[in-house]
Amino acid sequence: MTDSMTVMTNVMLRIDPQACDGIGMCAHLAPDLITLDRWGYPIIPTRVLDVEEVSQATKAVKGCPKKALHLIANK
Amino acid sequence: MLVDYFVLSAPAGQREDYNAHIQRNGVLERCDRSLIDAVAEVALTGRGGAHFPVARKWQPVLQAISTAARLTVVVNAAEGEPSSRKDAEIMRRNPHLVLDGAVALSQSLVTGTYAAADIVVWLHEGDDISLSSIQRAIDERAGLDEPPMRVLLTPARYVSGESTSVIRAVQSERRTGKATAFPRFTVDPGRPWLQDDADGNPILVHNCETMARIGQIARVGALAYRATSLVTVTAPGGLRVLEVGPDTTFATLLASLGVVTPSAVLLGGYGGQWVEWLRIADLAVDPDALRTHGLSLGAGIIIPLAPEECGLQKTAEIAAWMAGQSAKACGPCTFGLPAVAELMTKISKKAKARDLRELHEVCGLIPGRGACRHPDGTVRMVTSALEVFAEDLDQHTHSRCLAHPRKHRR
Repeated sequence: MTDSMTVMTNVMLRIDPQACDGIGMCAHLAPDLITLDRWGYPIIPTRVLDVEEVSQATKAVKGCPKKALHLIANK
Repeated sequence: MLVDYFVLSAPAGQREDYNAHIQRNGVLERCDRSLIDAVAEVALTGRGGAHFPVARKWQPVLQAISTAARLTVVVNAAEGEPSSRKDAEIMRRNPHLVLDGAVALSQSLVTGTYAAADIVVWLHEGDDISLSSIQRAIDERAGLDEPPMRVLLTPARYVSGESTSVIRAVQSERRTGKATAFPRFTVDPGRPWLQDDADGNPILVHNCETMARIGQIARVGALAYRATSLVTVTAPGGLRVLEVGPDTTFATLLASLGVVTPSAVLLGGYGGQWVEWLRIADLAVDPDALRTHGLSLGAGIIIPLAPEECGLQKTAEIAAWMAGQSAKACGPCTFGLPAVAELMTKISKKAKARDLRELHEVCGLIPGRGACRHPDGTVRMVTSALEVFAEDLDQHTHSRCLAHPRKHRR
C-alpha cells in the first residue's frame, strides 16, 4: 500500500461521468468534500486538494463501487 | 462583399470531381511543417463551433508523433443539428477540398518520423448524398500517394458529432474492429481533440469546414487566405448556406435572404446563445469580430426569431429537443436536461417565480459535469433566453406574451 503512505500533493478529484451511477458512496466517505445534487450525483471540488483533504478523498476513490472517481495530478 | 468564397468553389448544386477540382484549384503539392506556420499565421480556428486555435491543437500531436506508430486524422462531418447544413454543403460540392486538408495535415505532421497516417471521414448514417460524394472522391484519388482513407458511419444523433464521441468510436474501431458510438473510454476533457489510445497513437479530429480551410491554406499559403465564414441561416424558404466575406453584417445577410428583421437571433444554434437584434445587426458575420463583442459564431448557425414566434416558447421546444438528444450516459445530462426542458415549458406558458428560481438552480447544477459539451450548450442557450427575453418573461408572469399580445393565455 505504498500509495496511501505517500503524501500526495497537488492532486484533484475527477469523476468519469459516464461510469458514475449516482450511488452516492463517495459523499458518505468524503462528506467534507463531496455533496450530492438533487439527482444523487456527486459534486466535487474543482480545485487542487489541501494536503489534509487527500486522505478523505482517497477513501472515496477506493470506495466507489463503479470506479468512477479518480485522484489525478494537477497539470 | 456579401458572397465571397474560399471554401465553396463549386457552384451551388454542383459537385466538383477530382479533375474539375484540380483544374479550378490546382494540384496539392506534398506538404511539410511550413503548413503549421501558415495555419498559425492566419489564426485559423475550429469551425465545429468551439473556435479553438487550430495550430495549437497540433502541438501535443507533434510531441506524441515522435514516438507513435500511427496518426489518425478524422474529418468530422457529422452535423448533428437540424438547423446546420454547411458541412453537408461542403461534402456535396467540394469533397476533394476536405480530403486535401486531411492529406496535407497528415503529411505535415508525420514529416521526418516513421509513423504512418490514416484518414477517417466521420459521417451520419442516412446522409447518403454526402456519403456518395465523399466515397466517390476517395475512389477518384485511388492512384495517388496518399494515406489510406475510409468512411465511418455513426447513428444520426446530435451528440455523435461531439469530438469525444468521434475519438471513442475510432478507438473502439481500432480495438475491436467495430465502431461503436459510445464505448466506455474516458477522454481527458482538458484536451478532448486528442487521445492517445492504448498504443499511444494520437487521433486528431477536425470539423469538415476546418479541414477544407487547411486544404486551401496548404495550396495558396497564408498570404492568399480569405477570412470568409460559412453560415447556415434559417430563412423563410428553409435553410440557406452562404459563404460570406468578413465585412458582411448580420443586417446585410438577413436582408439578402429576405428575412424580416427579427427581435433576436439564436447565434451558434441550439447550443449557442440568444442575442438581441439591436446588439448584433451591425456586427460583422465573422468569428474574430464577434469574439471582441463577447459573442461566438459557433458552427455558423443563425436562427432569426420570426415575428410570430415567442422566444420563450421556442427556447422550451429546443430545450426539449436537446434533452431528447442526450446519450443518457452521464447523470447531470440524463436528469438535468429534461428538468430544464420541463421548467422552461412551464415558464413559456406562465412564468411563476418559483419555477424560474428552480430553473436557475438546475441550470447551475449542469455545466462541466458531463463527458461532452452537449448539456453545457443547452444550459447556455436557455440562460441566454432568460436574459434576452427578460421583457417578455415579465409579460409571461401575467400570462401574457409579446409575440401573441391578443391571445389570452391561461
